[in-house]
Amino acid sequence: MKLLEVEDLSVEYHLPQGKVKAVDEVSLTIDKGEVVGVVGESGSGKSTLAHAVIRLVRPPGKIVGGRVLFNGQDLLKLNDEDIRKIRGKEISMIFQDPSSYLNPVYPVGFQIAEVYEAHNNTNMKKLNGEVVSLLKKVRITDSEVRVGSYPYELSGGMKQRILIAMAIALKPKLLIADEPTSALDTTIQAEILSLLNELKEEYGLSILFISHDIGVVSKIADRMIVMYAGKVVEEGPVRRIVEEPLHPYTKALVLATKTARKKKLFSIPGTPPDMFNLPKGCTFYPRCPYAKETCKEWNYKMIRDHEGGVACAIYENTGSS
Amino acid sequence: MIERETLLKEMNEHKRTIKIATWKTFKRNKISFLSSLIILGVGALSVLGIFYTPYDPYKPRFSEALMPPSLTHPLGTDWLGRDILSRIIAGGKYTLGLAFVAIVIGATIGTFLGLASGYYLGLIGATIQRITEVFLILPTLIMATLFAAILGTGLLSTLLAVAIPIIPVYAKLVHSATLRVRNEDYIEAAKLLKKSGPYIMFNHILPNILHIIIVQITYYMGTGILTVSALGFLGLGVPSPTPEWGTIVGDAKGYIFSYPYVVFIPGILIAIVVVAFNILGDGLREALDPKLRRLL
Repeated sequence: MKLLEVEDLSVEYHLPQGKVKAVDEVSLTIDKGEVVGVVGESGSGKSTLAHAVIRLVRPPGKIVGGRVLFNGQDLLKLNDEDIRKIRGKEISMIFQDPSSYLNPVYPVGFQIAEVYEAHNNTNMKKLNGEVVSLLKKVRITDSEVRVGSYPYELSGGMKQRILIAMAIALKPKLLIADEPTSALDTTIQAEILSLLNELKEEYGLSILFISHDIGVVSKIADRMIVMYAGKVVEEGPVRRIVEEPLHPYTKALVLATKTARKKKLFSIPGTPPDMFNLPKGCTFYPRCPYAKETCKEWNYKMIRDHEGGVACAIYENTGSS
Repeated sequence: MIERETLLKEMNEHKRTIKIATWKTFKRNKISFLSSLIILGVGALSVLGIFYTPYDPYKPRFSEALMPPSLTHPLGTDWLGRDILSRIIAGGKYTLGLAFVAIVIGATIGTFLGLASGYYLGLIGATIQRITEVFLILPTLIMATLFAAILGTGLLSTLLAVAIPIIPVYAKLVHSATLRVRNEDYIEAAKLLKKSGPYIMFNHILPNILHIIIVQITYYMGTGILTVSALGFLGLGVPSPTPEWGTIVGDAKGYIFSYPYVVFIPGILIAIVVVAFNILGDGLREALDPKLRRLL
């Protein structure tokens, strides 16, 4: 059985200007010990997807349909008390900006100990040893001293390590990482990625890794999902997608990454679509170099094989033959 | 790998550097340093006044009435022959003490209201804030006079008359500070854990805004002293013969042309202390604010 199965999950934002379908019937699965990366540009719905899996979508956002099966149990049907028991203990999450998740007036060790207190009612005073070994695990040097440090005394990378320590404190089965490296500089980014890789090996942790950077995802993920305007446009093993992207949008993303170090950077023409007013047919149609007239009338359909799939009109005739 | 001891030492060193920089910034500001010395001196004398005064501040000695400053009476005597220095020393505990206690009471109540209105918003917040705004229409002094007139003279009513106008000021200040903190992600996390509103307010929001409240108390000490003595001067505050500074000035105002020192000495003292507190507030803000602090 799969650890996590998301089926046709839809999330809408009801705003004064209108309704936005941020996540539109997205399906994905994660095996035990597998790392799945979700890639897409700003506003593609990848972050909303991550929050929706653990039911952290804030109003005006609302989950309007689908199922999230975790170990066969539908998380969307649980009451608030039961979902709280799963958050942190079974599924935990790390975020893009670590500093806003730490309270500046309490030492970080205390805030990590709160995780144990919230789930096990353990007496906090007995936890010092646990917290220190946890800090060692996320490779914070001089953890005995750092336990008493305040967030302002730590760098961005160290704060992200503290959040990771909080996330893995109760040995969860699934870690949702929402752009955990985007606010960090490149060297720290590499360190955090290798730390996550290490934790994955040690705990058999599954990770849902959200990023706008296809390069970062390819360093850690086994499989990759590409999102555009709330829909999955391509899915498959990382190697296949990076070496042989199928969807025109994925092709453009990979090309942009490959030319990033060259003098002339390739960028996708046009701008991300207006989510209030999505184009009819294929949503990528206005920016697509392969676009045909028929794309305007195309209905979203994922063409699947055993290891992935693509949702694009150009493969519909050749792909099925 | 760095040794643990070295690191500990370095961290302590860093904290010490900040403390020294704070102190140096504060000391470099000569006027605010002088202000703090004045406040410390006046404060020490007032504490001394609880136990000891050179002469009895209440007992009239008509043979020594209206004597100009001399060696035996450094600030002279009033029309009843009471030593002015002794009366000022004895009065410190009324003027300074009343102002301080009133401001702490007003600040505490105002902080509760501001936290509640900033955290709950909605109907509770709107109600608290609209009432607050009504009270903010009047200047502190006028409102204090109003309440003193309603409550009558005496220690307790002066205390309340000074404390009540402070409440809306703090309610507004803490409300806006709470708004800045309430949407932080660590507050969201506490809410998801179903922590109660009061728990979040006192354990997560209050520690984050405490520094604002403390600095503001220093500022309002000046206002508080001024209000207490203004009420005393008008005869609405602590009644004579209690040597509250404003009351001393008020009682002596008939002698302003014939024996001006009887009026001016306590009057100038009030002015100096009030200005000193205002300057100290500025100096403290500058020294405590990391952005204004000059690291050497």
